[in-house]
Amino acid sequence: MRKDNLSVKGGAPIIRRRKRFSWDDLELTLLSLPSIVWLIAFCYVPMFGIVFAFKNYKYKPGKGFLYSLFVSSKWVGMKNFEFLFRSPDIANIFRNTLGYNVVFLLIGVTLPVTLAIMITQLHSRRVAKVCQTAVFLPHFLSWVVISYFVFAFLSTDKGLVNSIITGLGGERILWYQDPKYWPYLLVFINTWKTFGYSMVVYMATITGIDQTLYESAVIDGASKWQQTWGITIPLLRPVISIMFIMNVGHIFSTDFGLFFQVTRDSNSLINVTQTLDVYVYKALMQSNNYNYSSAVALMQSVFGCVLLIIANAVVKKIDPESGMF
Amino acid sequence: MKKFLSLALALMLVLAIACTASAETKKIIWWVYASGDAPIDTAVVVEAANKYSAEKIGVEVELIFKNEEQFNLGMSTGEDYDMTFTCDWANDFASNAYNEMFYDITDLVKTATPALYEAIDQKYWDVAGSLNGVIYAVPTLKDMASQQFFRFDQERYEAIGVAIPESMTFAELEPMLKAYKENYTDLYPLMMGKGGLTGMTNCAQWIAGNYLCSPYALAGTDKENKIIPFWEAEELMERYKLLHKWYELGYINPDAATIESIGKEIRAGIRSGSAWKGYYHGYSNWAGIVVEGSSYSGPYMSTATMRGAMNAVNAAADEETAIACLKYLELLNTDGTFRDILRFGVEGVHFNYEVSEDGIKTVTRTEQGVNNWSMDGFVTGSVVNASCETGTYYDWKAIYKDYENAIVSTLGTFTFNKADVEAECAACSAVMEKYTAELLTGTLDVDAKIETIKAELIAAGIEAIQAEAQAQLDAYLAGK
Repeated sequence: MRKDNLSVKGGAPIIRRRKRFSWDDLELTLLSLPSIVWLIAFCYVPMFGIVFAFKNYKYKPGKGFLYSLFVSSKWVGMKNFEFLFRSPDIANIFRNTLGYNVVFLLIGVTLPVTLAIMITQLHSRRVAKVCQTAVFLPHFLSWVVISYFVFAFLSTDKGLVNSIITGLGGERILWYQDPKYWPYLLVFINTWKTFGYSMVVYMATITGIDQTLYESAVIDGASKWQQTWGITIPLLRPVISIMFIMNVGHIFSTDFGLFFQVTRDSNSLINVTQTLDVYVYKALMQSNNYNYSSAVALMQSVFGCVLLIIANAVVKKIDPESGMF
Repeated sequence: MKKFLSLALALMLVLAIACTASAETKKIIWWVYASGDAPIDTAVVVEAANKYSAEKIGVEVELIFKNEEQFNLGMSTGEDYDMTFTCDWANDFASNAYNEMFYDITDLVKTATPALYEAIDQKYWDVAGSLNGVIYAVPTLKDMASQQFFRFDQERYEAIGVAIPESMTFAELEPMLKAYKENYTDLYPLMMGKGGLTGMTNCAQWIAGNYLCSPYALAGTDKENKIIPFWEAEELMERYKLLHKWYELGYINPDAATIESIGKEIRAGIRSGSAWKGYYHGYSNWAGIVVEGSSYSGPYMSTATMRGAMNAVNAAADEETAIACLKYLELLNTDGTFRDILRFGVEGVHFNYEVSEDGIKTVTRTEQGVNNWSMDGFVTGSVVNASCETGTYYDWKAIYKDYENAIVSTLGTFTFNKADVEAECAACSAVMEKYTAELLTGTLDVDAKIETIKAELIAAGIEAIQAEAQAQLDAYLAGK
């Protein structure tokens, strides 16, 4: 009989080291089963598609998809990646992709945290709920719907903004033809749509903070400001770190809906709206080339993954408890 | 009771299997084109068509509607089909044929379905359906040349006393725009969406994307059979410049480059389209006004115009299936009654026949027909073999006869194989994507911007594509 899980030394029981699969384990496994199945079916199984990036895929009639991909299509090495760097705009494309994402990242950390703290400070619970719902709502709208909202404001002929401008005797603005407004517009629209979601995450964490901490702070005579800096922010730090690290992983991908739909694919704006995803879509929409698009997607994921690991290491260096892994 | 029921069910099952086996009809899967959703009454119409075709030739179809992207995806992943729509603007014929995705019907169409082979002119088999001498597709008979028209609002032009000529040049539109603008100051005479004027660029045969072409007008000059970048195509550049001038003059709506299209709810003074003689004349059901057309370009004929709609058989099909497909197309091309079922639906439900005083049988659609079974004429077969709708009668024999006077491309059946310059093509397409809508709508000042576009296209590798295309063309012409 094995005794290691019940060993007693000096009278004090030490933590049991379970080797066998217990009832608890089974329960937890069953609970996570749907997610595991989902993860395998939709994240791991389709990963064989990575070979697209290194092949010149041609379907062979009557042979089936898998045979065509693995057997009859030729390997072309890194050739599929060349396509991206043929573009005369490649520097501009990277500038836009990274530039917008860095701005989104900074705003995505500061603004929701600030607002989450402000809303939890509200005395009226009702007002707090209304605010929370109001900023959360745009999260559920699709970009296509938002693109029409924006168009209603900015349309050249009948847009709300131009109607106001002309009503006040001004000259109307061709919004969709003038790139100088769009970096601000895009940042604004993206923030409007997305910050409600992260705000709710932060608010949930704040609600979970032990109230006794604040009570003892109040007894010690701490002001609201001091409570925020001394209690709320330090306790929010792990969540902020995780949200930050996760967003860094997406730094090479952009929201196609934002940059393509909301700008109505206006070519005059292309210098400030062309990101990697938009470029790939526009270049490959006609040519039906899955190899090139897989190559770009793979590159986005690999770079994103590397950056995620670096970001995690940096965060852990600064604050060993806040890392994601 | 339960036992009896299960027994009865089992009996029915056996009977059903026996029935299908004894009928011996062959069912083929046919992919056809739809720009949006499949028509609502698909099941009803296909059932009627299947009854007819099963009786005549023992073949039934399962009709599946697909749009451009669905065709691409279906073809590349090996989705199951027997016969598919293919052309030069969706489910690309040339690249599919180069990749041997389609069944070689060169001999089969002559031996198995001689009537089909007869029904279609030799030149359409040679130019449209073939690649390197092998027939891969059956051309759909419709308008086979490309002719461009301006379509005017007859009533308004009459009101301002401007006569509409039968044909005109592109530049001659300017005084007509001016007259319209002066009389209807609040309106834009030439309203368009980002696609610009339909078919405006068809004065050249396009070899790669919308950046390499061979203008029809160069036949007979020292530039005949030369593939050139679009900025060397003078007629086209002239049009771009004029459009920009008109844009600056306020004849074109300022947001043209950013809106999808001008819907029929907008009464536009001038529209444009690719059509044939007599198409724009009289009351237009679509627009709800009286219109008059004036031709400004064409008719031109090339592989592109003849490959407007075709049907091909899956290369993976067996011979029996291939024959069934061809027989089905044969019936469509030779049997007017059958053709009308797929074109207009079920008689008495979707349409009714009418015979005019001079003995011409035309079709009037019912409301159900208009709403639930409506699509472009070429989708389910030949336009020529179908009846015409009441009020829009076309004498196809005369139109086809006219094609003998069309300007025919000197490039013959040449089809560019992009396989070796695919990366360059994708990069050039991306460059053109940035400027196309602006060029087509006159938003962009061509003179000021052309050097930038040129430099970007050269950086993307247009010269390599041009050299490759020219080498392929020279080899083709030498072997002819």
